[in-house]
Amino acid sequence: MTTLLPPGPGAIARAVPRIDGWRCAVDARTTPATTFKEWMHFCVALPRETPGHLLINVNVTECRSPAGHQRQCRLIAMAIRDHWRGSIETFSPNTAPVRPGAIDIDLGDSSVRWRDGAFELEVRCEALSARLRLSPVSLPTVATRVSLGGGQGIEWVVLPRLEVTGWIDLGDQRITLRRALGYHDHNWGHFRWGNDLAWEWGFVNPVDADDPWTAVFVRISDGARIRTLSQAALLWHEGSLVTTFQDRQIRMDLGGIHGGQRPFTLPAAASLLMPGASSGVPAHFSLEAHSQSDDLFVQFASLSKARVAIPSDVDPFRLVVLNETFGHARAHGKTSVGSFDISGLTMMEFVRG
Amino acid sequence: MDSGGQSLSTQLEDALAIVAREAPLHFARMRRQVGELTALIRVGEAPPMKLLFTEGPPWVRPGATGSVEVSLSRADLARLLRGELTIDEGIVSGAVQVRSQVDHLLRWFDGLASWLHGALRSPSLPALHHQFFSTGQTTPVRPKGNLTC
Repeated sequence: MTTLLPPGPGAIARAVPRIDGWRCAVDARTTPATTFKEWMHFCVALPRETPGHLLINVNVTECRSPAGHQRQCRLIAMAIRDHWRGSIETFSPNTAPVRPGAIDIDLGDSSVRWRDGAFELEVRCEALSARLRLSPVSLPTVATRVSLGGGQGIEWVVLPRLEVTGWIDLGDQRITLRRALGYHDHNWGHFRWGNDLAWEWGFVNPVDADDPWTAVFVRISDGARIRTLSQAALLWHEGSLVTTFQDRQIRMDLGGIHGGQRPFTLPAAASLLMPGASSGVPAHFSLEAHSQSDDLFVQFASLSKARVAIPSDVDPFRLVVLNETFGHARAHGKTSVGSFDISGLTMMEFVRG
Repeated sequence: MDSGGQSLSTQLEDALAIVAREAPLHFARMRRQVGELTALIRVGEAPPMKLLFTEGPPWVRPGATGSVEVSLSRADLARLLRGELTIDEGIVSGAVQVRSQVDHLLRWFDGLASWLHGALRSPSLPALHHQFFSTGQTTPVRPKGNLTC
């Protein structure tokens, strides 16, 4: 058996602000047709007695044109418990300043801050309110880049597991969190929504915060999902990255169609353009990954989904759909550190269009 | 004209003007698709609003007849704008009543889809969307974030 030393809180506190700050990487590639896109994504599991998930996404879109440099910030706040609720708010640069290299961002009454080794999220939206402190228990990954061709690409860093304390108000119910588990990633790049691109993305954190294992997986492909551009699956134990599976070591399968009624959709008016229930979300997702010494198996069963519609950058009369899918996941297998078998309610994202 | 109806008419005109200004490609396609057809929209007890795009602005005027006539309650209009009801569901359930030749109705649906794609790309429209749901419909746009429609 291999023994890995978990990263100390001091190392995490030093690393995160150096790696996870806003890039704001506007350059010659940044045009009205190909804007620079960047977002920070946070997921938080709700307690076992009130199962559900919270998603907070802060995104910034920047473009350069003869008229000058334009920046738009958006806050997407969504939660699934007995049903979905959520909202999207947009902010002008004046009300949501972003400083390259910094994590902190204010969005009206809401904010993301990095303080004393933890993210502090303050969310004041029409749909929900929250005040959370999210403490990473691992180092962030190094930035990974996937080329989409033509100078376009997506980069990201992941903090797979954070311990979360605080509260969330959903309607008239306050949910208090103590050592809940969360997930965070930060993505950026020059690419065009609707430009022959799809992805599947997800993570598995255990129900029990004392269980030390976490898994994250992603596949980026062409829009028809015939050609995989990149895929990876990563495993952590006590905050240390144990193994990374890549490309041909991984097989992903999507089965069935997740049905049900027309999903909750943001922005609301997009429902009028997507009146059906179809979404491209499978009923089941499975992953199998093998290396010389390690094995990983993931199964995900979709329970409920919500859609976030994004205008296509390619076709002015099409939308790209981010399917935020709540479901039950299990990850099990073996590594040089030991065997694992974790399960819990989690989120997957299926991007289609 | 009651204040509610006048406000709704003004808001509809504003919504059209915003898309005309911020998503001109979409607005132009909508005008081409709708052509000379008119729509008469009745929302609750408010005075009917007639939409005509061969001239204007204003594109919203008082009227009594239209190539397509649509009636619905203010509550059901709100459900449509909140994404809780689709037009198809509204027609099937009777919440949205439509009187039209089928080909005219389909042209208006195509025009509406073009306008909606423009609306989703218009930075100023979320504020108007929020204003619709504000008490009295005349609440000023809130200065912080705006809900995206």
